[in-house]
Amino acid sequence: MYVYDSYDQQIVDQRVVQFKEQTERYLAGQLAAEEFLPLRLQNGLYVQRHAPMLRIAVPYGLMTATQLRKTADVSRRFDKGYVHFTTRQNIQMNWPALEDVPEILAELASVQMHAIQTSGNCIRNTTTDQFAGVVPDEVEDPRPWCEIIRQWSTLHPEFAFLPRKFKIAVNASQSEDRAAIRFHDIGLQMVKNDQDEVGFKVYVGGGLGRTPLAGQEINSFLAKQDLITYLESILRVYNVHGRRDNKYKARIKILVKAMGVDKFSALVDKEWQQIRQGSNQLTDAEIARVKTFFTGIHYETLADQTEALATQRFESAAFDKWMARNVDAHKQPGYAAVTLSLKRVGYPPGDATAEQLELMADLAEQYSQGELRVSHQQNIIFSDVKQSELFALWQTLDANGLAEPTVGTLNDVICCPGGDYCALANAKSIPVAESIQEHFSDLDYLFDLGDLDLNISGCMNACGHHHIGHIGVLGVDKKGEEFYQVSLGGDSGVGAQVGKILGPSFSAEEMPTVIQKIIDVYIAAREPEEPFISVVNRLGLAPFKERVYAKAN
Amino acid sequence: MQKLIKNLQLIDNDGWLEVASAEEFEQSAQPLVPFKLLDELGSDLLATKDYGILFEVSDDYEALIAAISTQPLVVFEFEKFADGRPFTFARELREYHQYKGDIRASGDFMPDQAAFLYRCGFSSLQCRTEQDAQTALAVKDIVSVNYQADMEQAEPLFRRR
Repeated sequence: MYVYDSYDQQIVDQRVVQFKEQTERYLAGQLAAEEFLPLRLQNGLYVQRHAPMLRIAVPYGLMTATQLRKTADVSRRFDKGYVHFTTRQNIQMNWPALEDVPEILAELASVQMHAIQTSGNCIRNTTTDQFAGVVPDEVEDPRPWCEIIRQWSTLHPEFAFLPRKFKIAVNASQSEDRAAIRFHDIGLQMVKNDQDEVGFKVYVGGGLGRTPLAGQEINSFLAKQDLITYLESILRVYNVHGRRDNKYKARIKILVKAMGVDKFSALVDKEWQQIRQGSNQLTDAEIARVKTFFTGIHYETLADQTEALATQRFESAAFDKWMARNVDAHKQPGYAAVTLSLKRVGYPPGDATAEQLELMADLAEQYSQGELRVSHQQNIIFSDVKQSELFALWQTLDANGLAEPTVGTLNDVICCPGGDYCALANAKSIPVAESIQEHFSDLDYLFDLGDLDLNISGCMNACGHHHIGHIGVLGVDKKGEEFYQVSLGGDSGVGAQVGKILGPSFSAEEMPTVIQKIIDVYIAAREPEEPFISVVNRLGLAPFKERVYAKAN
Repeated sequence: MQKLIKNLQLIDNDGWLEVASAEEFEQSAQPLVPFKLLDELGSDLLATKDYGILFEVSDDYEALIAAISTQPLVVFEFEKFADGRPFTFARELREYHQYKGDIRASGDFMPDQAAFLYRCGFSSLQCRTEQDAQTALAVKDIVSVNYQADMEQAEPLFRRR
């Protein structure tokens, strides 16, 4: 866990003072609403359907138990006692009073948290694999690089008024992409070259929203000391050439597509040659300094508990299911990574109450060295649990509704807050997620279906990442009524692809049946062990369309 | 009305006056020439005295680079505070082209942008109102530590900590 020194703390503290002054000027009528807008957005503050919404940064999804407790405390004192975990590993509070936000930020700053650049047309929170640092097959821990990017992008003077928002993600696993890097403005894949040196493969121009596109490669190997100067070059080209006449065409993906990746890449290179050797070139000392913060987990020399776990799994079917879906392999013998599900049926996906936050903080200290992560699937990860303590942890989680053994299944729905909370939404998303979860409540059936991403967004802004769900659901408004458009075949992983729309949209009531019909086609067509996404890729949309839109006899 | 911030002081003006024709250029002691007018005035006339260039975001930045030499002033006119192109323009002018003259922000920028403007190489601010100018001076140093290298601090924080 990166720990602030006096400089980091001073920046966050001074940012609180700055925002307090801006808020006071706004409330006194000395700052026009349209000018306060970009200033408050760059501090994560939206004005929403019912109240302001404050988005708090969780850099690359990593938190301490202390920070989680403070979040619980703030949500209780200034909000309604619950928070929402987002698909970009951040935390949202949906009911703070605008006047209270400076005080909330001051409270957060006391535990090295902030809301800097969680919104607005600037560089947002850098995200990564929720299992970073413990994945057996990663090139190296990507989190020091996320922290280096965080510092470079924080209050960057040149890139605070970009054409549109800008998102960066880093992945280091060699077999999987849990950070959806191809769907970010910049995606960085850590790689090794022939000389065994670590660097980055750089993708640019990916994104969701109205024009979903997978990012294109513009550099097959960027040396690590060149990371910041190269990012700065990309941002410079975007800031000057990105469209500003139409907000729906302002993302870098539109620029890269219009210009062509070769021309874009040449412009970046031209910038880069001028600044590559400059003072922003990273030093070995700095890389080493940041890395030291991510080696603080102390592992005991343990053996894998294969037999003991097998016995426990044999004796408890419920524990067995949880182990199968919610526990992942760890590079360190005797340890495991555990996913706490925030997808209990009947509760909004990704929401947690203050009591749950405090419980998770206590358990993180007891079982996982006081750290936890937020995943882009809106769950919580304990990354360093001893295998010998899995059963005890499971019992506590199960008793508190945090052990739904459905991670990665159809019921692990990614879902935005939707029309219940968000002013941008065309339709509600949470009730649809719930009706589908209720329909598929049979655990054995869910297990049999295997890995299946169901992503739901309440509007084209795609906060629920509907384009890259194996099944995607998009809320649309038709003459004041809410309908849902279904797409199939999206993939956020290494197979990066955007789903294709099935056909005309459905009412909320029809949705569970529609999903059931899609599943029926899959079950009838699959080879043994064949995942859903593979069947969709193999068969195309036709048989699914046929079943879903068949006229009733 | 004191709405120009120069050398971190609030003043009425420093003499530069926007001109709209060759005739006005000839009559002015300190002409500020809209970028689009440069061609029309021609190099012979421009060579007769020091002049400033008034650049709008929609003008051709590459052509500005070609036209820049020893002019003492370049003014970047903000069309809208949300259009951040001048931040990069100013930075490149200083960093790539070693421009040493005054770079001035004008038009629709916010006082809250003052700190970032200075960090990107702007050296004077033609604010919209006197109140804006006072606010800009009052708020520009609230955040006093920065991670990045910029035009006020040549080394990023990681080389200094």
